[in-house]
Amino acid sequence: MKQLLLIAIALLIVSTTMYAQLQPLPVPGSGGLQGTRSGMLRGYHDFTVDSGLTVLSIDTSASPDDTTWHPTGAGTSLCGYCHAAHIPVTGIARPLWVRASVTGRNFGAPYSNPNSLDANVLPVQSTDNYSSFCLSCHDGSAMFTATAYTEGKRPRAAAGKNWADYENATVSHEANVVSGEFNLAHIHPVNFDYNAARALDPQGLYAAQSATYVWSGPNGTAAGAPITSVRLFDGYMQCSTCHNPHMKTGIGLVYSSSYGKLCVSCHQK
Amino acid sequence: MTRMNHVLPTALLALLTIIASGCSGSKEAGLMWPDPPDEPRIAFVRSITGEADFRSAVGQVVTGIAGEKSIINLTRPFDVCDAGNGRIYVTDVSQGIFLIDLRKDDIEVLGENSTIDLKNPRGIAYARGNVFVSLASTGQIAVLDDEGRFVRTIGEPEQFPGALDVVCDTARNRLIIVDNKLHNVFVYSMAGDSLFALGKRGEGDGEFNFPQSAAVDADGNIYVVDAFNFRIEIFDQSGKFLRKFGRQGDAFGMFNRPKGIAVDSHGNIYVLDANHQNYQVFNQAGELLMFVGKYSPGNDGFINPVSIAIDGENTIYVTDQLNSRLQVFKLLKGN
Repeated sequence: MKQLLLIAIALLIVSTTMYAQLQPLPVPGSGGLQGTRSGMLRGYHDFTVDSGLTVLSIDTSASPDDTTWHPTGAGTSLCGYCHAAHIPVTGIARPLWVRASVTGRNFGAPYSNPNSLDANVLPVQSTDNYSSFCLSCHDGSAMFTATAYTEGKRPRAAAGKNWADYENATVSHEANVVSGEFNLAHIHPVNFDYNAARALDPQGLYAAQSATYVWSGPNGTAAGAPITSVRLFDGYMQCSTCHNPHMKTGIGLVYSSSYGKLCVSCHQK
Repeated sequence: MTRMNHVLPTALLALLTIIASGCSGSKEAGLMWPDPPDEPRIAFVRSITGEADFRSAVGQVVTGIAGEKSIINLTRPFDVCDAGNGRIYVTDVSQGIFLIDLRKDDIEVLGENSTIDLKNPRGIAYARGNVFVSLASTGQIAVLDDEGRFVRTIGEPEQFPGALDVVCDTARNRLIIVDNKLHNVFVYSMAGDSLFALGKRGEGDGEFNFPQSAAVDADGNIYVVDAFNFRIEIFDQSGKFLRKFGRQGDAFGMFNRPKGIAVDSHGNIYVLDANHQNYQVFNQAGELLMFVGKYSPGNDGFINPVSIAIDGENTIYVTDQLNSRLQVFKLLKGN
């Protein structure tokens, strides 16, 4: 009886996980929407201590079955640097100066950023979350010279709207900041409501087809196979709309940027 | 945790902040940690977003709106250090270096006319009339005087390719440099001579995996945030490893994106976390005493805070990067 119960629970967990992973579907050949382990190993976001990368660089020859990249085998984690598992609170002490006003033993479940293993199946709790998680390292620390910042363009307030409607679109980015000179011509905001931005410039942007995709066709045509790898998150554009953190090709763009293909999946040009 | 029960329109809040900044030591009522019935230990003091927060700047703000003078606002504050007498230096990765003078009630850009490019600063520290700032543009440490005039550099170009933090040990006349790319902590004399280096990449005692920042206490002990080993390592003044605490996780006392670190006059250790959106306060044994903050644009929390500093009177300064502001707290009772 006990064994049956355990099997039933296991089946429930597996089926729930599978259901969650069914959506959205990965794009063949893109490494999947969530990327791959080989894309992680010795990639930009491989933080294991024995990756051999003293200055963060990438090794595009790495394959998941090659055991030579992490020579000491001392790396205890690969995914955990960002996808931290929840910690059982058994045995966790209450803070010594907080005896009565806090009864929990952790900082909330899920905690303040979507960094748990649950991240992909939970609703976005705050529209700030996706990008602010990236920015918890890309704050001037990671890559050292690269940073994200607020200066630059925000969506212009449309008639009947004011700045407060666009308060969340305050994070812009520059990919490469060298000697205070900005190498990229564009300053692109993230963390904004895509359709609200489109309302300001209906001819300039394609309408979002859903809260998950812009879904314009290749090269900006409405026809043809939809570009499902260029995603929105609850209707918001985030860092992950264009960048997949699990990839090590170039800057981890989710879709080819050659001849502006990635750009025209949103911009009508 | 303490919560704000109301949301004021931004303009009104700014006005209130201007008024509040005129009265020294004014506090936003009720914003203390921990919540009752526990004894309050830390109180919120004020939030500094830019020129509008300073009484002496009110006239300039009006001028600024007319377009004659640009208004100084924090955008992406990174590191903060205390220079004594109410003087606070803040680096902003999208702008440069700010000097905030709480006694003069003023904020200004440091080194605007300096002979070197001070854009793209990271770590900042102050001792004996000198400002030490690590520059992402050159991978060097620049030494400036009080007024931001260039004095000299420490290190060859790109000698410190990831110097996220610099800390002064004033009593020992030493400078501590944390390099996130080299996975080292370097100890220099303030004159610029290399004394010794701590660590190498790894996860053993005394090793580092992307160290982020450091602090030094009255005895010269060096506290290092070993970010991707998710722990704090403590060394004595000669560089000998003493002890460590912390691990990754969401439970109390654990870290996910440990950032800044500071030590108060009681020896309590404050560790800022850009995922927990708080700072946790530990005793010397590494036991959690309390924590302050949550994910919030209000004064009850932070969005991706980066650095924490504590002055000689146990005033606590936190750069709250995505809220584009410097948050100020006061330790009420630390033992």
